[in-house]
Amino acid sequence: MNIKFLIVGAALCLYLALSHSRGWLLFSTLGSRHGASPGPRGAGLFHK
Amino acid sequence: VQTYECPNCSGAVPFHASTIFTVCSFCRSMVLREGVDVKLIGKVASLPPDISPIQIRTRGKFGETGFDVLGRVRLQWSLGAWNEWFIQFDDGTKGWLAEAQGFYMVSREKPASELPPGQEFKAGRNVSLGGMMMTIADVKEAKVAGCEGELPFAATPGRQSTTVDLTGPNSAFASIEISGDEMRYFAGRYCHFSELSLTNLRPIPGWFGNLPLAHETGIQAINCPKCNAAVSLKAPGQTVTVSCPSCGTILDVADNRVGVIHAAVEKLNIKPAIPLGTRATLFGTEYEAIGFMQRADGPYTWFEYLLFNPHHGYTWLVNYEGHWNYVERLLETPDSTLSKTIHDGVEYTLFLRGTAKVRYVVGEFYWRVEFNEKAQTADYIAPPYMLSSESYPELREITWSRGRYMESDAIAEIFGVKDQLREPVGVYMNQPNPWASAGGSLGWTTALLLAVLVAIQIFSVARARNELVADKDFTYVAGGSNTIAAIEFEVKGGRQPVAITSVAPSLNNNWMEIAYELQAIQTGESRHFVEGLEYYYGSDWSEGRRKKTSVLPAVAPGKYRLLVEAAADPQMPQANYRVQVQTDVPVWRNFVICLALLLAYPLYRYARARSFENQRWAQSDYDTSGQFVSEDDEE
Repeated sequence: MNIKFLIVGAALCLYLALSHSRGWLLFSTLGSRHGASPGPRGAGLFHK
Repeated sequence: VQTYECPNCSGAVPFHASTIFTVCSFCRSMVLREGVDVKLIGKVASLPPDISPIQIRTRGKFGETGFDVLGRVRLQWSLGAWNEWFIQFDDGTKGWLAEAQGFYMVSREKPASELPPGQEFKAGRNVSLGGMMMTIADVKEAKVAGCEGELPFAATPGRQSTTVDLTGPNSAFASIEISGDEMRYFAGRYCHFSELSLTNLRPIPGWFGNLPLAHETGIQAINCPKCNAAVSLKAPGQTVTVSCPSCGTILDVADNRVGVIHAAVEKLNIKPAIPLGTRATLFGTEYEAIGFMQRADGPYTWFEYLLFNPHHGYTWLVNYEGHWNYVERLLETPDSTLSKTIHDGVEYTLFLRGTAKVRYVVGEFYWRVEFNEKAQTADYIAPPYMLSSESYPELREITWSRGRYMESDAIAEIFGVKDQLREPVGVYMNQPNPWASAGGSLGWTTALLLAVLVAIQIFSVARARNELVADKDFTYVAGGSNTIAAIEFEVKGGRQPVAITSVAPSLNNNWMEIAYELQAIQTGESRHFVEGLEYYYGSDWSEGRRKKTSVLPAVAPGKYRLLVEAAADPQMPQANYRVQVQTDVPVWRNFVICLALLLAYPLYRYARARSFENQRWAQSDYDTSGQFVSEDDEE
């Protein structure tokens, strides 16, 4: 059981290190990518 | 070895240098050696059958010294009998191998002058012998019941003596024999059968691959004085109490005259879950269940099975509410205080004190079972082990035993009684905590992973540049054009989180919404989000915030343009707001989530382990350090 826990824990440590080096944010969908902006600059701006 | 002619039958009677008395193996004459002559001093009857594995010419080892068994004296006292085997060591010295109740004790004779002078021998007293503090375990009047082989004294049947047995630390054993004016002193220690490396043992019928004897001629059979039914003994020579399988009368067979201890207990016709006669191998040794008793302490009752092996003696299985313990008697007395006991380097904590009374017995036992006798018990625990002491104030005798918790399923499997044992109820005093990690390994693993996680976080936070790349003020005008403003900045290095902070310091009971679009100038890739700011308040309350920060994840390096467009409460004519952009900001969110995920399992285990321990100790009158807790304190 402890081996499994050690593996999961090590994976979490690895994830944290990777997230820092890649700039990831866990559970964040803020500003999810839109692809290339169409047309004139600003045309894709979102309004509520 | 000198060989003489038996004065009675002329058969050869050998004498070792250490012996002066022998029983002729042909005619059972007792022959005494006096100088160079031998003389006949009578005849001795054959010894009653017993289950001892030792015989004349058995060879063994005590420590590094080999020995030969030359003779035996069988001694009898009011509550049983035991064998004293006379042994000669390879170094020419002589000693005794005592065999009683499945225990073996090896001792050598010491000069009686070593005994403290003027000592009165009473059970329970401490005596300093050979620089060691020994306790007098018992004092009993014994007489020679029979003998065989060669001996260093004339062991004529009926010879009486007072025997004082003493026990001490590290299995130390001593015995003082007082016969008339003569006092002899023997010192040695308790031994396990296996450490004596005995060879040339007597074959025991029905054990160790030997064929059993026919029932009628069993090792020993007696007749019940109540119903005349045959009662065969599984451990003759050692058994003192046996129940008649036919009428249930409890019989005393200590001195070959069968007496009645107790009439049959008819109301309690309890059927043992493990039938008597069942054999099973426990921890490498085959045992037979030969006795079963129910004992009680007030309303609490439990069952005890007596297990027997002719070589290894007796052990117990104790069953309470579906929980099982394998119990071995200890050869030594553990170091004990009121609340703690130490044995084999393990510290045990006091859990319960009580009394135990026998309520029901069936089978055979190596002591005289008394129904009305109350034993004072104390249980100390170090799961999965427990140490128990039983003392009989009248006998001034304290016995110690060590129990080892066994799973009910394992007992069922070992004894072949699957589906016949009840499920364990609750938590037993020495039941291992299934949620506790072995040796705290989970705790160490958690600490290690936590340290790594914290180190990664500290390193990353320290390394983050947290660079302010844009800081710009805007003004929102209601109904105005509010053209889309743009902020340009550059993200340097690798992919990184970028924080955008929106501040509207003049918000008073109204709201503002700022829409952002981040455009990568080289690729045209864009991301957008909306930040809502609102701030409402009264005389004693407020809600919402005038400043908010959003972090965009994994922004690739390159040049960026941030488009900003504000909307606001239509009632607000004008508002100033400010936008700040910081690149490579330190991030805590991932750390907090990883930390929560990492600690979830150990915390769950810890909570379950605590709950298990609480259930365990709720049944104790003591706290976890062995201190008495009164009922008032518990509430």
